[in-house]
Amino acid sequence: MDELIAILQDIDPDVDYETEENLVDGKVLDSLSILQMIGEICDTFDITIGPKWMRNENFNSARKIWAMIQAIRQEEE
Amino acid sequence: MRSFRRALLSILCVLAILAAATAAVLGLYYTTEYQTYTDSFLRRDLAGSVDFLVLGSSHAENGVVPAILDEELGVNSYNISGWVMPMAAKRLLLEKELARNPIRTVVIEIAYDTLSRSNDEDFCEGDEAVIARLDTMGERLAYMRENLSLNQWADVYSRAMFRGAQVWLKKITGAPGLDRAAKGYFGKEAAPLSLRPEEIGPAFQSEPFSVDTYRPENAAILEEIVRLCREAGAEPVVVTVPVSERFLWVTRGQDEFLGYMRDLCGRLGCPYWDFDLWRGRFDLLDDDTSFRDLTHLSDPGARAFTPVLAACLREAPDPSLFFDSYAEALEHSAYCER
Amino acid sequence: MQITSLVFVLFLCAVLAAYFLAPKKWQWVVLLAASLAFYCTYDVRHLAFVLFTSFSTWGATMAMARLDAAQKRYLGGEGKALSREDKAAYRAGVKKRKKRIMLLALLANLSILLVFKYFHFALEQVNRVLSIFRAGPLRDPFRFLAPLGLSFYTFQMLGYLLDSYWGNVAAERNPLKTLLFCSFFPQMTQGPISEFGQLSEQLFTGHGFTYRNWSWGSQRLVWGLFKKMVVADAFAPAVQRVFAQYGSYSGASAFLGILLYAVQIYADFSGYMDIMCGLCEIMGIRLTENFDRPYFSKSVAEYWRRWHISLGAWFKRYVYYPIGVSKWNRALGRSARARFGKRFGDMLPASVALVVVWLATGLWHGANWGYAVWGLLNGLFIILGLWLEPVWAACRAKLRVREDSRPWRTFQALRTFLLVAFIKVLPEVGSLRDGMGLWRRVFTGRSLPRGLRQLLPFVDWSSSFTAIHFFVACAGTAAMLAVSLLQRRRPVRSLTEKWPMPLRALLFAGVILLIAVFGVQNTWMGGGFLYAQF
Repeated sequence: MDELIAILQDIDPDVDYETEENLVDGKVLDSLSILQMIGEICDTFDITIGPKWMRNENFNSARKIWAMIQAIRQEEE
Repeated sequence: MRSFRRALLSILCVLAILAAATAAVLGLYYTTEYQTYTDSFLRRDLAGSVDFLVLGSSHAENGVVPAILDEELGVNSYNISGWVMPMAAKRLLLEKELARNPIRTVVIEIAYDTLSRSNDEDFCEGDEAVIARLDTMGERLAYMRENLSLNQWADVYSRAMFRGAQVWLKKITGAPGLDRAAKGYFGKEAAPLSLRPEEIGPAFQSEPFSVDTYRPENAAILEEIVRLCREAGAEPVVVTVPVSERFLWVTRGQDEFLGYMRDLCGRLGCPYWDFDLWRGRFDLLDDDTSFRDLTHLSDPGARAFTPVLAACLREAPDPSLFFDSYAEALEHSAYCER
Repeated sequence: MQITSLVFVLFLCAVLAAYFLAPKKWQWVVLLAASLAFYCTYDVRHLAFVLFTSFSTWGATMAMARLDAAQKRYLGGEGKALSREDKAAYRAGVKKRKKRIMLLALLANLSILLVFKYFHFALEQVNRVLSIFRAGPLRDPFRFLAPLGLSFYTFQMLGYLLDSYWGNVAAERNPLKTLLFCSFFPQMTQGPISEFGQLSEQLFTGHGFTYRNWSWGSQRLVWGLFKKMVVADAFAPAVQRVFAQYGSYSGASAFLGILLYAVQIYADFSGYMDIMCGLCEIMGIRLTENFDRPYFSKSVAEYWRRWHISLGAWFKRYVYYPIGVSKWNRALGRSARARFGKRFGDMLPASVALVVVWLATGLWHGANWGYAVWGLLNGLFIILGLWLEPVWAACRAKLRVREDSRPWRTFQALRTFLLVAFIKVLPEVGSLRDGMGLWRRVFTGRSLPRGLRQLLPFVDWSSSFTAIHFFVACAGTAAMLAVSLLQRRRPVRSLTEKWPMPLRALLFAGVILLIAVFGVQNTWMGGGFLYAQF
């Protein structure tokens, strides 16, 4: 989770990722930032985030992103 | 249920306001003579005295002056023509006037496109004007029911409200309305035509028309009109009012129209005079002063043309007074050298 | 059946009556019958394509769902004892079969779209190439009209197919409900392009009649008719005149003509949306919003998040993200980062995805180079905006611009409006050359117009009737602007809600009268919907 927070901080350091629940729906992160974030996540955690995961609700908070990463890891095992 | 009742109440409220607005606007429109064609009261006042009728569309409305016919022929004429008037409306208005007047002659004006007209293509401008000329709301609704589709009801309503608003404006500003003395004639000033002379020439003939566009139902109504005239003891005469020389040049196929009309009138047994082919037309009518647009005579043009029409009605013209065809007529046109 | 016609209004009354009289569990059947009847009034032969798209998608989604169910049963039952590798291999096999089914349905439906929309364009390009070698040309054997709404319903169904393949949405078992999703008449011809998960819940659930839905929905419907009939249709002939005659216009007139088109297309398209969203709102159905006051946007990127929102969302979801997160694109980004730095590496994958999205968006709008260039131009401005953001930020800092100040935001909005208005007009004038000719005319047309008639030569001054309609439409545009400004804070309908009913009825009746008197005539004089051509 710390690595995830570090990735998010790198993209936009002004956001409080512990509490923010509306990263995508609230337009806190734009589509470019999301792509950057996905690229970093895939490289850092060695996973593939396929189109089926590309839904707003999976990216709206750090917690939900972490839950998605766990789910993908489980699927890939 | 409460929601539905509330919604129903709101609909009724809106409909009531619309009905009130419609009644206010159309009420004044249909009960006054502020529009130049709201002549139902005038025709009612003249009922019993009209013995000569001109029945056509805008070409006749702008081109035939009843006052000149009255003077030349000693008649009491009325020009019941209207712009874009559908054939069915012509029949309806004719029936009304035949029923209440001792009409002896009916001049039926047919232009190159009269028989191809339909509401679907020409909107309902002509129908709206006809509806305003009827006497009662019952007649108006009956006309709409018999002649118009549902979408066209909306079109007529729209036009009627627009015209009605103009009537209110005229009432407020004191603008003149119907000229009763004109007896249905509507003269307009000459205006520059949209085609310049240098654009005219044989190479410019770009607008073909074909009798294939003529609707059988329109021809059938013309036959009925002729029959109604005869049954009422009136003599029907079919004419074509002249259009501008420039227009003759840009439309191909007029001889097809000519052939069609000659056949039709031959079958109906009534005379047909196409004044586009009258030999004197190029001298008498000048594009710049005798026309208000490419296809309609101006007031000076109508006043020059009507005595010619009257002369032919007084004494049936010799065929030699007319060119035999449009092709022959155009050889004598000022533009034929181009 | 023309949407802006009395017959359609009566059709709506009949549909609403049937909808609310029907038991809730059968309301969707009423919608289906209405949708099919509506489509048949256009061309009953083309219904075959709608049925094909709907049933082929249903078949594919059901087949994939069956495979998923079988996999779950197997791995939960006799397959439990398999090794991890064997389970992975089994899952891969199922995934492969699902992919095959998905691709078959995707290609079948996409090819219908491609043939109808792009066959002639493709043939034209082939003939161009052949003419270089002095060969050909190949004859065009087909002359056909695309089924109404083809682009819209095909994209919607492809979205459903992909969502089902990815497991984002459960397959709909009832083929007729799938057909309803495909053919739902309020959105079929011009969108919005909806997601199955979002719309199906609305469509298949029964709704009771509520006064609020009635009141809000009917207000929106009438407002949409006003925008379309009183404003858009009045400007339509003037815009056509601009496109045909701009060569003789002054620069000022050409410029006004471009602005006129921007207003016309917004009033036309958003008017349609208001009509259909209003109708659906009466029924308790929430359609996806397609417009969010786009001309107030502060950048081209923001504009495309507020204009035709559902199309942008579709491309983002099914093209931009898949390309953006694909392995090859990420590898490209890593390689670029290594050579040119982090920023370059981060921006490149997004830029590649954007180029593809905008080329596709352009071609979706029209099968010609004009639209392709239009799409790429939009993409270029968005990409440039991304790349140059640090430069702009530095300029703003240097000039001490306060980004939240009203003058700055107004400047941004005006700048963006002018930019999108100019870009918008490019493919509409005729050829690409004509579009650029209109642009050039704005800057090279030196003559100074004397008086209103010369300033507005595209108005038909020969008839007071048409001139009056034009100026009423101008007043309507001012009303639209006023409503948009009011809506920044809250919906206008929440204001009118507080009025006494007779006052609301008076306003309503007034707008209906304007539509009846001015709108009906404008529509008769040639008012089809612009976006229906797509």
